[in-house]
Amino acid sequence: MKVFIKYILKSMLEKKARFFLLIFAIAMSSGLFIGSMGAIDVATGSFSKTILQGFEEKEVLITTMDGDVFYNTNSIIEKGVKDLLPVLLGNAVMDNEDLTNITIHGRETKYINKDNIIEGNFWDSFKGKEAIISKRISEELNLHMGDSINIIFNGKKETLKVVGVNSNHGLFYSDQKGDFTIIAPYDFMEEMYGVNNKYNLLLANKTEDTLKESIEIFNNANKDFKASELFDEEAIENQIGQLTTYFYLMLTIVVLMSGVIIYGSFKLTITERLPVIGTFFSQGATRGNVKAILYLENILYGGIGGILGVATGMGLLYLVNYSVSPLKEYGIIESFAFNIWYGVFGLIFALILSIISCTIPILGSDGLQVKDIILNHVNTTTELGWWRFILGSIILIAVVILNLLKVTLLIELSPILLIISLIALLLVYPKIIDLFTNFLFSRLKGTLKITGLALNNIKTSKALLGNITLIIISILAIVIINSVGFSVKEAVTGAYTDINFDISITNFKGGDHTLREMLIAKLKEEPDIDGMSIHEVYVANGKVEDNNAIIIGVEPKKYREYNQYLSLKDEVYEEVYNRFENSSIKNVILSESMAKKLNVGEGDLLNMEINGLNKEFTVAGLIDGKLYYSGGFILMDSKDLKDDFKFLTSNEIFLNTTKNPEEVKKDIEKVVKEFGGSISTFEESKKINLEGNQQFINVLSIFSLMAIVIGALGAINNMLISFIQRKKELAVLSSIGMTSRQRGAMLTLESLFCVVWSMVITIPYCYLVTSILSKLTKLIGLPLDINFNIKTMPLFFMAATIMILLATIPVLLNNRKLSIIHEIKYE
Amino acid sequence: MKSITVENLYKSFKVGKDNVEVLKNLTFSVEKGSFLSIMGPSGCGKSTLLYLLGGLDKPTSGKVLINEKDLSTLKEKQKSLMRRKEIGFVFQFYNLVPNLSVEDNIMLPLILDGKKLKDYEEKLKELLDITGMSHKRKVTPRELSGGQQQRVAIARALIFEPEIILLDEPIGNLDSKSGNDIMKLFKRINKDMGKTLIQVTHSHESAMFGTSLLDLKDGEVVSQKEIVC
Repeated sequence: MKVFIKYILKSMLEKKARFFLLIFAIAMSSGLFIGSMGAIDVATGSFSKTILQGFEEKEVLITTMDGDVFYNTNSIIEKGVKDLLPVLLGNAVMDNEDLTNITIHGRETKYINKDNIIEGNFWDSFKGKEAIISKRISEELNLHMGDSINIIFNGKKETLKVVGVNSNHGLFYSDQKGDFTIIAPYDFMEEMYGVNNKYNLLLANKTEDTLKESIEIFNNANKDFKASELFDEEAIENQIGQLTTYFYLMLTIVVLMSGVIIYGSFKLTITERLPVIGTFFSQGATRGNVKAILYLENILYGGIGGILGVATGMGLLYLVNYSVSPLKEYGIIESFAFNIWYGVFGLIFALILSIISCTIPILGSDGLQVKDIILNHVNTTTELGWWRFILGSIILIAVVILNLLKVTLLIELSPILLIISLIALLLVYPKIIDLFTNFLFSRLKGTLKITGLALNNIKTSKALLGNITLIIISILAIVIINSVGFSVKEAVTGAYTDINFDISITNFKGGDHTLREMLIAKLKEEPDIDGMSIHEVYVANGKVEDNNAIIIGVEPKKYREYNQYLSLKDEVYEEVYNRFENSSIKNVILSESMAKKLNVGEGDLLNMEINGLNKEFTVAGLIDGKLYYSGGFILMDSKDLKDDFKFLTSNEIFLNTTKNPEEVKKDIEKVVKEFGGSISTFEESKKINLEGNQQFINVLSIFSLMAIVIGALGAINNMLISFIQRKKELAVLSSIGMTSRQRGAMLTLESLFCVVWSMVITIPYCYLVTSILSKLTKLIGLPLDINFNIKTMPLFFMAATIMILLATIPVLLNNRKLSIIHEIKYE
Repeated sequence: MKSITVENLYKSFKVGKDNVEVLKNLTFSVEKGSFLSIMGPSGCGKSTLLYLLGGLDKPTSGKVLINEKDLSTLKEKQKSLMRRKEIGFVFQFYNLVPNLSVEDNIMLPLILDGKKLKDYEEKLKELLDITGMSHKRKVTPRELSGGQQQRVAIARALIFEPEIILLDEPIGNLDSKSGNDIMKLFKRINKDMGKTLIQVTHSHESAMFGTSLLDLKDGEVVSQKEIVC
C-alpha cells in the first residue's frame, strides 16, 4: 500500500496545472458551500450587533398602553425587566447648509455610561445647553471640548457646548458624518418639550432566560405599560433569507461546474495512467485494488481542496461581514466567530463532491480490457447513444408542461425544477449536436473543409462537450443574475411610475406624533403644495394568530389615488375598497399572498395583535399585492391603527406639488429637517430604491464572476484534455497532409464552435429558466416577473468567445510542439 | 526514373545522455513503379527510415529526394502538401480517424486540400470496389475488423493518386489470411496502377510480395537485391 500512496502522491504533483485546477475547483465549491451556510448568521449578527450597540445592549422596549408620547415611569412595576433606561429623545438638525441630522438623547447623568467617556469632567454639572459627542464626530466635524454646536430643534435655534467626548461605542456606535447622536442634559430636553419628569423612550434588560418570558412577566404585572422586543431578529433573518436562496442557487451552479471539471480531469488522469494501471494488473492487482488507488487519489484532492475551501469559506464570510458592516467606511468591521461546524461540513462536502465526480470515470474503467489498457488502445471518442437524449427530453418536456400549469405546489418545487431541467438539458444537447453535425457534415464536408472537421470533432470529444457544458452553465449563471437584476429594475421602475407622489418625507425618529402633526400643518400652509394630497402611511409589524404580518396604515380617501400600483381603482376592487373605506365595521384588505399565509378569505374575522394590543377585524377583500412589500401585507385604516393599537409612528408623509418638486423640496427642506424628517423627491426615492436593489445584485454578481473564473479554468483544462486525448489523431491527420496551420485552425474553430453551440442551446433554455425563476422568486417572498433579456446575449457571446480563445492559447502552443512520429510510432 | 533517392543518410537520437545512431550512411534509390521491401530485426531503424522518406522526420545528415525534390529544402507546409498529394501512408495500426465514416476517412486528404468531393465520387467508388469496402462505406472504423480498417487506410492512401505509397508494417496487426489478402492488394496496386510502394516489415513472407528487398541491420544496409517472382 505504501508504494501505491507514494505513486499517487508523485502522480498528483506531476501535472501541476491540473493539480491546481482540481484543488481550485473543489476549494471554490466547498468555500461557497460554507459561505452560503454562514452568510445568514454573519449578516444577522452584524445587523443585530449594530442595533444592540445603538440601544446599549438593551433588549426590551417599554411603551404606554394609552399611546401617550410622554410619560413618567413612577408607576412601572419592575418585574421581568431590569436596568431601566428612560430617555427624552428628540430629532434635530445642525444649523448648517447640509442640515445634518442629529438624534438627541436627553439623559440624567446616572443613565450615562461613565466608562466610555474619553474627555470631559462634567459629571456633577451636566445641565442646560451642553452636549456629549462621539470621538468619531469630534474628529469628522472638528468639534472639540468647549466648541459650540448650533442646532435647530422643534423649530428653535439653540447652541450647545461640547462638554464631553465619548468613545465610538454604545449609543454612538452608528455615528456618521451626516447623521449622528448626541447626549444632552435631561433638563434641556425637558424644557424643549415643555414636559416635567417625563420620558418618550424607555428601554430595559430582561431578567429571565428568554426575552419572551421576561416580556410576559412584565406585561402581566403592568396594566399601563407594555413591553415588547426591541427588534425582531426573525424579521431580519427572513429578509436575509431571500439572499441565501440565491446563494444556494449559485452554489448549485458552481458545484455543477466543479463536477464537470473534476470529472473531465479525472477521466484524463485515468487515461494517462492506463499503462501503469495495466502494469498493476499484470502484476496481479485486482480491479478493486486499482479503484481503491484512484479513489484514494481523489480523496486526497478532496481533502486538500476541502481544507483550502474552509479558508475560502472563511474569506467569503469575512467579505459578507465586511459588506454588511454599516460602519465599514470608518474602518469598523464587525467581528464574527466562524462556526467550526461549517468548516467540518465544508470539508465533508469537498470529499463527497470529489468522490461523486470521479465515480463515473472510475466505474467507466470497468469496461476496459486489460490487454487494451496495457497496449493503450483505449478509445477516447464516444458514440452518443439515444437513451440520454430520450430521458433528458422526457424530463425537459415534463418540466416545460409543469411550468405552464398554474399549480401552487410548483412554486415550492421550483428550485428542483430548475436543477432537473438543467441536468436534462445537459443530457439532451450532445445528441442534438450529433444529429445536426451529421446532417451538416454529410452535405457540406467538401465545402466546409477544416471547418467541417472541427464541427465533427465536437460531437465525439467528451472534453469538448464538457467545454460546452461549462460555457452553458457559466452563461446561465450570468443570465440568471442579469435577468434578476434587470427584472428588479423593471419592477421598481414600473412600480414607481404608478405611485403618485411628488415628495416624500420620512425617517422620523422618536415617537412624537405631535411634532409630525405640526409639520403637516406647516406643509399645508405652503402655497406650492397641494394640501389635499398630503397623507401619511404607517407601517407596523403585527401578529395574526402567531403569524408575523406587515400592517400598512393608510388614509383610505387618499390612498387609492396615491397607490395606483395596486390598481385599487380597478372595477374588480371597487366593491372591496368601498367596504374598506365606508363600512361601519372595522375591516382590512389583505394581499392575496398574506391571505394565503393566514389561510383566510373575504368576510373572515382576523384577531390582530399590534403593539401588544388585540382587536378583531373583518377581511373586506383580497387584492393582488404584486411586489408591494414583497406581496404580503394588510391594509388598515390608519385611524384604527392609531386608535385601537396606539400605533402613532407614521413611516412616511407623501404629498403632491403644484410646481417643480425640486424647487418645492428646496423651499421646505429646512422646515422638514427641523422637525426631524428627511425629504426626497419622487425621482430621488426611485433612485435610492434602485441603488438598494443594485447592491443586492452586486453581491450576487460575485457568484457569476466565480462561475466565469471556474468556467475559464475548466475550459483551459478541457481544451488540453481534448488535445492530449487526440494527439495521435492529430498526428495521423498530419501524416496524410494536414499542415500545422490547418491543425491550429481546426483547434481554434473547435473552440469557437463550442461557444456557438453553447449559445444556441442556452438561449431557448433561458426562457424556461427565467420562467421557473419567476416561480422561485415567489417562493422566497420576492415575487418578480423575471424576463430574459435577450439583448444581452451578444455581449455574453463576445465575452465567452474571448474566454474560450484565451483558453485555446495553451493548446495552440502545445500543437506547435506536436511530434508526429512520437504519436504514431508503435515500437 | 527514380522515385526516391537516399544519399549518405544518418539519423541519431538522444537517449538520456547517450547519442544513439539509428541509421548510418544509407545510400540507395527506388525506381518508379517498383515495390521495395525493407526488412530487418526490431530496432534496426526500418520505421525511422520510412518516416524520413515520408518527410515526417528530419535526418541528422544526408539527403532524401522524392521525385527529385530534396526534402531538406522544403518547408513544413510544402512537406505537408507533398504528403497529401504525392505520398500515401499506410500504418500498422491503420490510424483511421475514429469519428469519421469509411468514406470520409478515405476522402480526408481531399477535404484537407479543399477539393470538390463530387469530382472524386467516381474515384471513391473505384477505390471502395478495389478494396472491397463498398458495403461498409457509411460505417465508422470501430465497426470494422482489422483487415477492413487496413483496406480503408489503403484506399485513403490512394485517393489522391500519389506516386509513392509508404507502408509501415501494413499487416503486422492482422491474421495471416487477412494479411495475405492485403499484400495481394498491394501487389495489384503496384502492378496495375504502377505505384511505387515501399514497405517495412518483419515478415519474410510479405517482403516477398515486393520487387526488391533492402536488408537493414543496426542501421546499415546489409544487402539490396531484386526479388525474382
